[in-house]
Amino acid sequence: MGFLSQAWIIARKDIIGELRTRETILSMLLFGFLVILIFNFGIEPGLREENLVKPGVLWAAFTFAGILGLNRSFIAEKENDCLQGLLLCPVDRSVIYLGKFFGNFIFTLSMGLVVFLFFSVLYNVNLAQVALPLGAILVLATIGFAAVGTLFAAVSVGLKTRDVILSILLFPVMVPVVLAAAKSSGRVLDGVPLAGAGLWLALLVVYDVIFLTVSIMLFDYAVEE
Amino acid sequence: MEHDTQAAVAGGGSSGGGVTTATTPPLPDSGRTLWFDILGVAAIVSVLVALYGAIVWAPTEAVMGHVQRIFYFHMPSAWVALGPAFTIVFICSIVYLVKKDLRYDRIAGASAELGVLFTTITLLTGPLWAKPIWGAYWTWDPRLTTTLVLWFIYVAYLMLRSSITEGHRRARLSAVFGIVGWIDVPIVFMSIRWWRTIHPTLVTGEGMNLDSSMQAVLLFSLGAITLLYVFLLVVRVRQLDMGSRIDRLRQQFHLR
Amino acid sequence: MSELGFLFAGYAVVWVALGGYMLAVGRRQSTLRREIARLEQEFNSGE
Repeated sequence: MGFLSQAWIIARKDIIGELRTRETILSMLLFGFLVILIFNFGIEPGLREENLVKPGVLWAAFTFAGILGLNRSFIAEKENDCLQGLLLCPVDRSVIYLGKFFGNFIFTLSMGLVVFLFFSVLYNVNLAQVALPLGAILVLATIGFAAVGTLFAAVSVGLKTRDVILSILLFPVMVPVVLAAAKSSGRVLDGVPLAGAGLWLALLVVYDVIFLTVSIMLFDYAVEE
Repeated sequence: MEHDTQAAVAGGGSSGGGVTTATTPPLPDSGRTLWFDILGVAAIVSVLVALYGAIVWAPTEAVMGHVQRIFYFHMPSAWVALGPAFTIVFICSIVYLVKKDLRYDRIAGASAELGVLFTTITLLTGPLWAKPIWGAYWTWDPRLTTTLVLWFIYVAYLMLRSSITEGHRRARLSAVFGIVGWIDVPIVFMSIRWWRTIHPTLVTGEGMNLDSSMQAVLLFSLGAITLLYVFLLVVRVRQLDMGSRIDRLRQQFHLR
Repeated sequence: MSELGFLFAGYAVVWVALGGYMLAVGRRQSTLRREIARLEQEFNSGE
């Protein structure tokens, strides 16, 4: 059986499990909306500088809500000792990583899409123009987020301070992603065509490639018993 | 107290050897080694000389005045943290994952502590230098901002370490984070620099004219602080080695 | 704060930070020595 299809089986298990209860994706969504709302109350609407602040709000919400989802991706395994079972499967450990990564990617992307819809309603964004470029940015940012996030979630799942430590570990490492995503989406929202934000997209791509590779290599060490 | 400390740690020595089966478990020896003492004296003396050079000997900078003298300790601190300190964390993390020898984990931990120490010094001296010259404590200068993110990464590393008690597990998990963190730093720097060139700050980090004697002081100070870092690293690693040997002795003893 | 005041503050930071670290190392050293003493005691009383 192919490498990727093995990974897909693991991802599918997570997705189907989540679709059944839907509790994580719902809390992620709710949390994302709440963050945008809270930020909104902190900022005067109709400010001239509003355009500078909007993307930051969007990506802050994305990051905070995303971490909720990451935490979940290994908790279920840990609580039911399924991680042991997974590790005993005669597959390369990187397959497990990829499966988890796919799952996290799908969840975070879905959350990102809905949060972005909410955001565009609140801030009167013209969706037709910006949907595609923003979608591209979202995908690239989500890859980077899920790549490192899955690795760190595996690292922190066994620890007492699991939730807090995941945030502490992930936020600083995410700085380039949040920066690039916020800056490029800011330009897109201002009406600049995607090529104008090319530098930031290049950064995202570089980040994604590097950290996906590094995470695949290190995942084995993160979960070995 | 200084003397005692030196004597006690001097004995930590080389990597914690094997299990002894003698009836009297040997205690960590307290023999002193010459090179350690020389290193210590050299470090302290050179730092004092650098201090003299920075405050007394170096000429006053034309534009910035006396406050500029902070730079002679600010910049080397930044360099020591980013250069040797965190790079050693990275290297020792990799070596630990390959060899599973806890000694490398101890070195990584000690180096990270020192790295955070020097990064903190950098982050505190930077604003103190900036305020009188540019009127603001923080200017989002790319290098200082990257240093801030660096601080958060390695504080996270230390927090991860302190939340795990078992030796090998702590070593393994911190190694994973130590590797990712170090690789991230150049990317963070690039992203922040692009950000700041698009929205230029009120001030630039440059604007300092260093004549040759100032450069000499800077270089000397760089060497002095690096030496100090090496000395402190050796001290701390020996202390950790010693702690590890004591733990092992305790286990051996209770198993009898 | 005068210019020299900031200079002093800058160097004070350096020395306080380094000094604090050395104090922490020294304190840890005392703890280790007490550990050794305790081990010696246990060992001698056990023999």
